[in-house]
Amino acid sequence: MGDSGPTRRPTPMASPVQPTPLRAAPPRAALALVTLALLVGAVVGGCYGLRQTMGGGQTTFTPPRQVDAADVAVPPGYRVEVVATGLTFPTGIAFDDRGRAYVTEAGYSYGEEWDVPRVVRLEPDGGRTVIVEGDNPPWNGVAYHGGALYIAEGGVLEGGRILRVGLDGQVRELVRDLPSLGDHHTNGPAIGTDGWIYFGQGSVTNSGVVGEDSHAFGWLERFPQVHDIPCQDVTLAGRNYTTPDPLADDTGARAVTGAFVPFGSSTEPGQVVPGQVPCSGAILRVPPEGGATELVAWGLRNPFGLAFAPDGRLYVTDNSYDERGSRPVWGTGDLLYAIEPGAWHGWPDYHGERPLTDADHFAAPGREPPGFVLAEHPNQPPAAIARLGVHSASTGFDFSPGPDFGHEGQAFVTQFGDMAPGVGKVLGPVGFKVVRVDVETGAVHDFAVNRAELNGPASWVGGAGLERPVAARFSPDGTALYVVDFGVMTVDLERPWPVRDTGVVWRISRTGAGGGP
Amino acid sequence: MVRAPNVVRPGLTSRARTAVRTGVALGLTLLVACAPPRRAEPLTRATVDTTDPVLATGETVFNRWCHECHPGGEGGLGTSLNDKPWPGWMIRFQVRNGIGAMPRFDSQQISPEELDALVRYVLALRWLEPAETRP
Repeated sequence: MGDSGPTRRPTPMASPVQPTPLRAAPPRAALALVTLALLVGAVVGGCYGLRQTMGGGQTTFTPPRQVDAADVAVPPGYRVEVVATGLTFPTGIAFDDRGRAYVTEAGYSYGEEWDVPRVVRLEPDGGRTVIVEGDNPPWNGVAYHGGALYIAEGGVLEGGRILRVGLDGQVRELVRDLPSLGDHHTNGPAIGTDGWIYFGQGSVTNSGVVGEDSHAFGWLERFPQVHDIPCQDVTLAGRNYTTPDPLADDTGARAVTGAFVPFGSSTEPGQVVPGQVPCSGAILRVPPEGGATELVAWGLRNPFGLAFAPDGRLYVTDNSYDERGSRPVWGTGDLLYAIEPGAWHGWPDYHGERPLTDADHFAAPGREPPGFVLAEHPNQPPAAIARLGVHSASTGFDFSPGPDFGHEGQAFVTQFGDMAPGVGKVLGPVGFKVVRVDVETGAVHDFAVNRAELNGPASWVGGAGLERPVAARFSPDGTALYVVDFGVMTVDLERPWPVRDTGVVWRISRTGAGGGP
Repeated sequence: MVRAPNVVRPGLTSRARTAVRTGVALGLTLLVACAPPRRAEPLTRATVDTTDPVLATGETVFNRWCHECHPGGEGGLGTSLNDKPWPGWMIRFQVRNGIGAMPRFDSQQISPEELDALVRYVLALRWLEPAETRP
């Protein structure tokens, strides 16, 4: 109601007699309701503070991993099968012209577990053939195009690369020295309708500032000068963060660090950080024969999954901020973007189209609001197509190509699952499933999830179903969705604990012929 | 209906009894509110009927503002919504006032009509059968 309604306030000319109270005392029942609402609200709200974190990785696991497709629930009309087991840190899958499947094994996992990255072909008789091995892990994904495999080499030790690998194992380097030495690496790739190789380049840090969390990841000690690189010139707000200095011998030493600069370097208001390509937190592309890298879009955090929709538009899953480090950001779900070419997508000052200065939403309980680290923003960031669970680690995805599988044109997104408590607190496991996203409406529905009363990985809910789905790809004939399951990774306050030989490839297909939802 | 005579029980004053009742109610509320989260929508049984335009609107609003912290109604960053007995008015109160860790959502973000639809959708999520368990 506006201000134009009749006033009930006594005028100065009113009787000197004390006016009668204008509102009757609220009835007892109403008071009780309001009190109850406040109490319940306080209790519900207080849950967050009262409860311990309950992430899906906060469990124990004793090998070997049990695998049973009957423990995975899918909608009526679909069935689940096990294609391969015993893989170590698998991250991607692709099919050649003959329909044979190739799987990347990363060779590295968070938790600083090292192995040899490689591509294995899953033979129809159940055997496996090693196509190629590398030495600069992790290999985060693979695509097939024109008789060759294209690999996103994360490169935590030597920088990221995009590799072209013939089916005979011959390797050709298309791009090198990508800024992958920090938190996030080189991801993808996806082949555009223009034949170019599109890939995601993750940010070096959680929210632009190198901090103690970078040391916990393991890389700050290896590369103390590494920091985020903007794709275009940015002007800083001069916001700095003081933390203990894990690189100093003196345990009481402190370091002051700003955004887009090395650990221990402070920044000034108005300071300009020059942009360059390749940069961090971006979608980049390169011709299939190699050459100069081109910028597609930037202002992303960790664009892990890339896929082209049937209409040719590029979509990306972006793993959003964590509640960690010098500049924690709270309550930001992973985002599915339809990429706007050339646009800055908001990292490290926005979540989708919303500024992080909205402290009611983005300040971690008991912490300072993140504020802006940039003095100016290149553009108003675009809104996401869909918003996925906070800490769900929404990773690889693919679009249903047609009626043989159903839900044509919708995205099937794998969710690796939360890494609480390292990324922040959750009140229940988030992710550990495959969700279906209607990109027209942004609606998100479970598609493959463990059969249990609670959500979580098999090692948490019991049974022999999904652990950490990380990549999805439809078979070339469009009848089946292949889901790559990274395997078991438990998490505690010290670090993640990935378990070798627990990776699985699942296959989901229709049980009957014809006609899809 | 025959009402019991208003007797004074020995040992507890009226105020003390009220305090005990409030404490028990709060304790039960706490148990319900902070219980482990139920899984989201079942896959092999009926889900929310979004051919109903109000529920369809509710689903859109839910996915825009709620899903991130309560994926599909299950717990995540926030508590689960699909197993809590809160009446509609209490859901409205929480959305508009954001008590606790949850932020508030004003009418610029969620209009009154959208809030009506959202409440219906959240209640519908609760009325779904629980998720499938292992055979």
